[in-house]
Amino acid sequence: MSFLGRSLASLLSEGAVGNEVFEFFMKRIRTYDDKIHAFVPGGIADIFSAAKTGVLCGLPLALKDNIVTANLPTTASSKILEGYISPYDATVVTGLQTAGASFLGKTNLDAWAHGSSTEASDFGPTSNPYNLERVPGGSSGGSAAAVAAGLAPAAIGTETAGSIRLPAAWCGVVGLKPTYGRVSRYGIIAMGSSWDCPGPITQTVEDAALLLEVIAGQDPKDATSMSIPVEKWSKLLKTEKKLTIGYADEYFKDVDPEIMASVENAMHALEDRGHTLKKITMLDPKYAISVYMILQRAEVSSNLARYTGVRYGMNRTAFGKEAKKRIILGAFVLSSGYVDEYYKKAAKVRYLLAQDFKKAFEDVDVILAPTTPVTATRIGDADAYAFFGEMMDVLTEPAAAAGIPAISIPAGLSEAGLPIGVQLMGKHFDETTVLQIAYQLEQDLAFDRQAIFEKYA
Amino acid sequence: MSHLTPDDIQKLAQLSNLELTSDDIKDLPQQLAKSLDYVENLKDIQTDNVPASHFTTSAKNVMAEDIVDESIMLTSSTALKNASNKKGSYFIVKRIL
Repeated sequence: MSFLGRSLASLLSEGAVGNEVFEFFMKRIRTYDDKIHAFVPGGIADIFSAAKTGVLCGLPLALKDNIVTANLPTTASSKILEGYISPYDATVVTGLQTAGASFLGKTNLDAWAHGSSTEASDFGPTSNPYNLERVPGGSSGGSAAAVAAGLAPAAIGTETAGSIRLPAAWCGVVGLKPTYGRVSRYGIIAMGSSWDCPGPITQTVEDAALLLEVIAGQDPKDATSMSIPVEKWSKLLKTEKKLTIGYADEYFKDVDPEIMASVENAMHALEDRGHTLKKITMLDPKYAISVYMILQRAEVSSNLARYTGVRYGMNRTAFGKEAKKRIILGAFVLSSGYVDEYYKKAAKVRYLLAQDFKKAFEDVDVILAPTTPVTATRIGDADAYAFFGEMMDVLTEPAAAAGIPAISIPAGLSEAGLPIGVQLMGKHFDETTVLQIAYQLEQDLAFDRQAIFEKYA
Repeated sequence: MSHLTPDDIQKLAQLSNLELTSDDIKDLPQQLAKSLDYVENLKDIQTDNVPASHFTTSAKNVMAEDIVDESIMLTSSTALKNASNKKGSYFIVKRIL
């Protein structure tokens, strides 16, 4: 029986049995992952182990390899942690297991999640299933590629500033970055601690809602997680409410015309449904690049200080080029004499970015924008940029800086056959509206996510 | 505008406990200069009297009683499991003094 292209929700409604579904996808991983490299070496589970009960009834997922697991190695795609086995599970892992999820394996990322192409993995790049010479985006590139190619029915990624939405856009899948504090960071290998947020990468908006229900909630082990009620989002998707959707020219600047055509198409679809479009003015996203470049580097220099080779992993000589570059810049922006000019200045502009959204949400319910300025780049292109990730993440960084929820859904294919994503950003903890509008758009845009499977069948 | 010299980079590497290769020392000043030039754009924005935001939600400090929670403790053998250099129930570290 083929489970290819079935969403989690449809597998559940068909009563698909966990271990059969697991074996089906495991076979696909063994057949096709040699081409795609969505999974990290040594990171494939092989054995089905889950209760066939709970909300997820044993259904298999892929996990980004910066989420610690006690039963599988966790490397964050870094040589430093090669072979590392965590003594404990991340809270999202425990939550998913309690809900009956099984795990197919751990997916590739830019080492330490430093990047937006998955090329900076110490274990080599992942390929975009739509074109193997292209990158899947990153840093959750392995998770997005696995879902796009039908190697996993859904996956969990993490986002600091674009790392869920960008690979989702470039691989033609759905990626939801929840509100910061909505999902526990406990057991996520820390990168930018005031930004990091785990979230689902799925085939459908409904599945993103379903997985969010499982992973969201306050966790005593993460003091930044918040006590906000967890909704049954998968049951709240249908609504008749007419909303005001904001859009801002600042997010359309320098965006590829083919992507803009998809955004306009999405705008028309929303209007046709009776929603009101409203043009708003936002701070130029280029400032979010600078805020991110300073604050993230600062947090990285602190977070990666723990890798000394004493308690686990190799010593600091095993850091790759990108990690060293980020640590050094982070140490600089925090250093005496420069901390005001860089770190404190960036923290103030971050405040203004958050206020900018707050003000916008006085007039609109959600904001629509392209997810990325261009479609997936070629493997190797990133080398030509001093900070490739930041340039590609320009449209996802402001929401990440403000900590608001945002979702990217597929909106079409470019002439070159590469997926295009549009994103919806919402108010703090208003995942409900973000998911509702995304669900409507998903139906209107009717992206054919199954066509790609012909290449892997 | 701040530009980092190879000496500055060496100093930061030393503070960060990183050993740089000769390629790093050659490439990093130029690469970091590009980042530092880019972030100059923040000067466009007036931030006098603007508070710094280190945190984006309304979460407050979480207080807890200072009691031992054994459910989240690791045994010493588990804690030492991934260490490359250990003796008995100790991690062996480089001599500091």
